[in-house]
Amino acid sequence: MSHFLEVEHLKMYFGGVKAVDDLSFYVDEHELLGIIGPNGSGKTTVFNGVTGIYKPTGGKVIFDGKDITGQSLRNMVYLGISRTFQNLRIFKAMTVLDNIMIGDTKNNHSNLFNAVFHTPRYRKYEEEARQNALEILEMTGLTEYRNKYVGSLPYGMQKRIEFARAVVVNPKLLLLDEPAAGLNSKEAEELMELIIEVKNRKGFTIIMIDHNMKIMMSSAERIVAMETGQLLAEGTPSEIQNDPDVIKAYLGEG
Amino acid sequence: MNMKTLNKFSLSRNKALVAYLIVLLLMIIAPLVIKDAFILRLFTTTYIFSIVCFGNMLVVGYTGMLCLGFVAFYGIGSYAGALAAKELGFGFLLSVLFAGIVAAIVGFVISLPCLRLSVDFVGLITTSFLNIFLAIARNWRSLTGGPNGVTGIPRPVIFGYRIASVTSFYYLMLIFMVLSFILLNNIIHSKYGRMLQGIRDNELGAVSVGVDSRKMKIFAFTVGSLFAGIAGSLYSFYISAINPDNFIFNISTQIMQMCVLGGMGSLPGAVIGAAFFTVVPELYRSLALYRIGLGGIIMVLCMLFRPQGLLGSRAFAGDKGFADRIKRARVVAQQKKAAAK
Amino acid sequence: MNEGLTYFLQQVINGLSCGAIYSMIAIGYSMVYGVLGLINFAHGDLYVFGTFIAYSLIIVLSGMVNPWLLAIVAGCLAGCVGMVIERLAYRPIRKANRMVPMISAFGCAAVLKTISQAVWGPEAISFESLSFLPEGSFMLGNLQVYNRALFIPAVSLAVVIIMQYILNHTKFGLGTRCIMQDSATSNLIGVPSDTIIPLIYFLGGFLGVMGGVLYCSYYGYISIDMGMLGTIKAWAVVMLGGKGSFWGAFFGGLVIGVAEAMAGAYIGTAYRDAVGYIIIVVVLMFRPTGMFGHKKVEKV
Repeated sequence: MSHFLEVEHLKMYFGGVKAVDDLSFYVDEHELLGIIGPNGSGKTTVFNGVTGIYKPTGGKVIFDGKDITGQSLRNMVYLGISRTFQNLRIFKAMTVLDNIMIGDTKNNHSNLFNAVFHTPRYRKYEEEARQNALEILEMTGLTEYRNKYVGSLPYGMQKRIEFARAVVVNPKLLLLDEPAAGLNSKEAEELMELIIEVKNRKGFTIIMIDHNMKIMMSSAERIVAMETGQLLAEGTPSEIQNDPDVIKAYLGEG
Repeated sequence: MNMKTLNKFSLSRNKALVAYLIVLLLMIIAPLVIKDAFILRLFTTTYIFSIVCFGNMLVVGYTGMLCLGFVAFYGIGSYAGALAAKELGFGFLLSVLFAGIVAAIVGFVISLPCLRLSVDFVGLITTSFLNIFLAIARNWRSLTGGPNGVTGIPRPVIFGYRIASVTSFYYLMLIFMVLSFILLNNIIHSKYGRMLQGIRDNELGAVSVGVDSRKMKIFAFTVGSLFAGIAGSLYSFYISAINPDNFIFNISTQIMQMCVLGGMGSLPGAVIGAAFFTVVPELYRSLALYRIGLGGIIMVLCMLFRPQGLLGSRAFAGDKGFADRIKRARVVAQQKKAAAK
Repeated sequence: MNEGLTYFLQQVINGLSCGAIYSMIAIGYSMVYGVLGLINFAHGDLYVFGTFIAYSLIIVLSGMVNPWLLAIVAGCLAGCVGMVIERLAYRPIRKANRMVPMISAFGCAAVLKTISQAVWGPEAISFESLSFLPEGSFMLGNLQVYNRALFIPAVSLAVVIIMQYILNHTKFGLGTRCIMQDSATSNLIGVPSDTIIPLIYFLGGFLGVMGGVLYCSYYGYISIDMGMLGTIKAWAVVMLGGKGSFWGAFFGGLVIGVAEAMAGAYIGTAYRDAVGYIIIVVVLMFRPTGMFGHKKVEKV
């Protein structure tokens, strides 16, 4: 049976370094898959390979039946995939609202002529885009900050903003790279609740990388554990927790 | 959304609009109040330079590409407009349009190598291009008149009305400036402006939400050079004789100074910067020798105390503000608490 | 040897001399640019300033002191000025957006140029009477080789070798290499950036003046306009050779020098400068990190 996303024998070699070494896993639609692993095990590199930041050295990525191996990052949005980044790539010198509205690029169809002359058609699209953004802001609890500059907001909120930006793209698949990194446990829990709520409301499929074991075990439906670029184990949270290989690799993690 | 919040947003927009209208009104009535031709000419020059700065703002301030040889496009527009009027017999408006298009095409071509290469290279390529342009201007005598340049550029004639007096030039340039401002302002406050600023602030992040950064960079460069070219041709018609020395690197520095002082990433700032660096040196003629040095001191002080200039975008504000320091201290404290748990 | 070949080789030799001078100036530039990534727009105007000082010192003390000694003094002075500029105009804004220190450097360049203009005037000043370069020449077959054509590249080569040694075998060099890789971490592990970085600027200014003295001796004059032109040439050479590589700056300078000589001889003096830039742009398009540069990998 075919899955929503299939990663087959993915290899990402950089010179002599085998960041990802023959990794295969899958995600089913509407699932929340977690990826765990020690630092340097290749988790983010998997994301980078799937989303086209680096071209895979080998292997295939099949999404919704289509082979998307090696497609560029920019096309991801048009294929229905969006992502967040480990080291926060939001626009700190712009307002929250603008940050979200940029995310809507794919859906905003006004063209240059309309923009230059601010035609009624342009105004209509702008209003639609703004309403869309405001809706997402409300969903993520950011409405009151919409005119604030992102750079002046606390870190936890910036993480939420990046998430909201990935959401407004309206993807089918959402890749979250360490959404809880740098947050205290309360903030992390709140963010996770928000992620799940949005997922259910919008029907997303989510792949999530994180080190926060509590969050992973409680939110993920299935987990893939990696080590040194390879698959260590795969299964439900309780299966992973009791897997002897995983325990050996991560004793004390969490 | 409820009406109250929507209205609150438009109020700040309206305040800006009112300010613009007041300034515009002042500009319109200035010649009626100020009879001194010298001052009016200063303002006219300011308007022309404002347009160049608008173009520079688009490329440097809004897209974040360090374009150091921008004056080359201004120069190309200047020569194109002058030659179109003198050799091809184009009318004024047609010459200006022609100049803008030529400059835009060149800008388009120059932008292509800049895409693959990093920020530094953009600066180097544009500077190199400026040098190449100057070399051509100085040596291709049959086309550009060599070091003597192009002289005897005819006065502009619009729909039968001949522009020759100080006042008519003033209004002509004012109209062009206002039109340029409106068009560029519209672009900036649209999804295109957002995309450019996204590229400036975090290019990879912008690409990850579907922004075609290559296309947008080409776009910024082309439109920026379009306006620079238009400004250049206006300049040609204004002073009716141009030569390569009008477009040396010093002028590029001046354009940078204007944009920096006024504020990177702000169109009204460009006008203020242009005004400052056009008017102030004239007021202190006796210090003409030290003009560049004083401009330099202003730039340094500006960078030390307010990097974003008067009205510029926060993207250039750097690490100086106290508010930022306090916020960061809070975040660090939070993270320490989290790590301790 | 036939005439065409003689002419060609003559140009090559000219080009190598000229190029070696570019190399010297570029090495000074490369220190700041390679380590800090800061496009030091003030480099050119600083070394011009220093060269003017050397000129004045020599005129005043003519005959009494070896001109090279005075040049070294001037170089040290310029180096100190460089350190002062670093402290006042760059250090406070080191962490800001990339463009901020660069614009500050622009401002400093303008100030230096104006100071030079105020003291020594806007006109070019002859450098002929100063005896920095060896006189005389010898014949190699049909080729006339000037002694200075050997002297300049030799000095340049010596400087590169010394700098490379300093970089690889001294504590200062180690600290420099750390900062080059990762300035934030270097700070954390105790590399004394606030000592090393000013020294880097000092070396940059000093070497720049040495190059400036050679340049003005070779061409016979000095003028305030050389400043920004020099900065841009140095920048171009360093980009060509690869950021952070002294050998790159050395060979880059030679390449540009020879290319310009060729262009000047076979195309026409008008487009000499232009050719240099065209070559650089073309090379960078195919090899963005320059001839010897390292690629800095950014973590995504």
